[in-house]
Amino acid sequence: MTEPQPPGPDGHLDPDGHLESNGHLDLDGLADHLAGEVDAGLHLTTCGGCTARLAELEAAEHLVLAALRSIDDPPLPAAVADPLMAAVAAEPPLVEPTATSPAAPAPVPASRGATVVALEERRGRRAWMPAAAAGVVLAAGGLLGYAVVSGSQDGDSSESATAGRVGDAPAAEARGAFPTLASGLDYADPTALTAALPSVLDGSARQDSAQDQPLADAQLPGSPLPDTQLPATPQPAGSVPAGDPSALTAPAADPLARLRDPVALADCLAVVLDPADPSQQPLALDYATYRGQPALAVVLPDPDPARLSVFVVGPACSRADDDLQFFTRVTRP
Amino acid sequence: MTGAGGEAADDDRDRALLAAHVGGDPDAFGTLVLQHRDRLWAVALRTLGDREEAADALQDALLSAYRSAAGFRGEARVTTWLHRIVVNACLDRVRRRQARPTVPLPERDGAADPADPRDALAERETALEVEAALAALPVDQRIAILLVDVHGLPVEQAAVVLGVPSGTVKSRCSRGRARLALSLGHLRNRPDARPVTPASGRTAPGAAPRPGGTA
Repeated sequence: MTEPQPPGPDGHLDPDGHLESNGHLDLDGLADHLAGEVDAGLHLTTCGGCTARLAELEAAEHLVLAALRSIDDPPLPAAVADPLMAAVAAEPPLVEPTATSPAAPAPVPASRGATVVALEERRGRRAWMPAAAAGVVLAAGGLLGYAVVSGSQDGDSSESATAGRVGDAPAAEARGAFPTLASGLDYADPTALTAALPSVLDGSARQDSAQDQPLADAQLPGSPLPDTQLPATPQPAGSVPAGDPSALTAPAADPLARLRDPVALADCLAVVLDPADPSQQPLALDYATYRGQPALAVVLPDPDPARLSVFVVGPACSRADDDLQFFTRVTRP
Repeated sequence: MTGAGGEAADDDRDRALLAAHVGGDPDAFGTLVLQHRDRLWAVALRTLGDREEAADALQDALLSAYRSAAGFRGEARVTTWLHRIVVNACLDRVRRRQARPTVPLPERDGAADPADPRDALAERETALEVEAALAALPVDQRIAILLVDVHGLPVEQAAVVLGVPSGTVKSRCSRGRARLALSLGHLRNRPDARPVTPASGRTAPGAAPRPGGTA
């Protein structure tokens, strides 16, 4: 390919290099003129043919740009992604962690509260493969008995919301209760995440639209809601009482509707829950967004008691395709 | 597309991950790859036009980035740095193997298809035509267009990725668009239209390879 010629004294490229034998500018010359890299103005003032071709090319460029912007990126197939991630995971660490150089990640700037770290830290180095152990699935399915009904089922949930202390979370774990909500939060924004996390954890995060009703369609045959687990008290804002029939109607177009199905949700949670800890359950589920796209955030306990793990998955999340969008660890607020 | 604030936050996140990786965190780089692998894959696949080659190039590039992360000087965005490594890996393969571009068959998620199957068919045909025309471009123009027009990188960022002046990126993009305009028939009615011959390094309209290569 012929690259643009060196610029002339006026700072523009010499159009003469693009003149064809018939005295007209060739296509590259016209294109370079359009790009501002060749000044063919002098020639164009005397050549009607080239002026017409340039106008046509300029109009066509808009059509070409529109066509280019309309094509979708080819998705990364699992047959490529899995070996790729496995190869990365198999690489030795650049520096072996020591007592004096812990593997803790460098914090992001102080203005952003969330610290982004390793996705696999909680899952061990399973090379990004979905959990396969049946026990994991059973554990995940079992906890969903709580997930679909929990909200904040105890009477003091509003007090917890008022207190807004993440220190309450262990108590919630012990009770098998955790908030399930639709905060409207975009988890790509670390500042917003840090600010909103207390209300996500205590269930007081607000729903931003009726279309974001969580738990919709969750009450499937085979997953009855025991009366004893229905909330007996008003729920905090943003936390949907599982026994509220109005919460079970979701718009058909809701991309996250699938993950409100207990079976699908269990299949997804099996990906993020620690298979070595069958008793583990989320601290909160948030049907939210990531980079503007619908996503489910799963807040989990972290091996570091001072931190929380946040997994953000897309609507396709399952053991077959984790659809993992983002992972971060945050300091317990 | 995220705004400038979102891009800055993304870059902060990426820098933190890279720092953690350099500091010995065994999983930080994997998380970083997770954030960028889809776009890098798209660049590699469209640059090389061959799925196996693109997969190899992407893996080579990312392992190279893994090992050389300590050399990242922080002057560019992390995503720009990653793009540059992937593009260079692809160009190396182009040069070494003189691979003929083939046209990947886009693997579309059915959920993204429009409701009307006629619209879906028309859109798919259009997409295939564009992909075929892109694949027929000279590789330098193809990569410039992928970075700037398809993926929306600013010209200055694309120039860093490609290691060339911004003016060269503009020229490559403009020349590539002109060829695409020919290939896609947008210049068909010009008064002195004529097929552009391979001898002049251009592709005649309709001469783009049809889909169905090795993708």
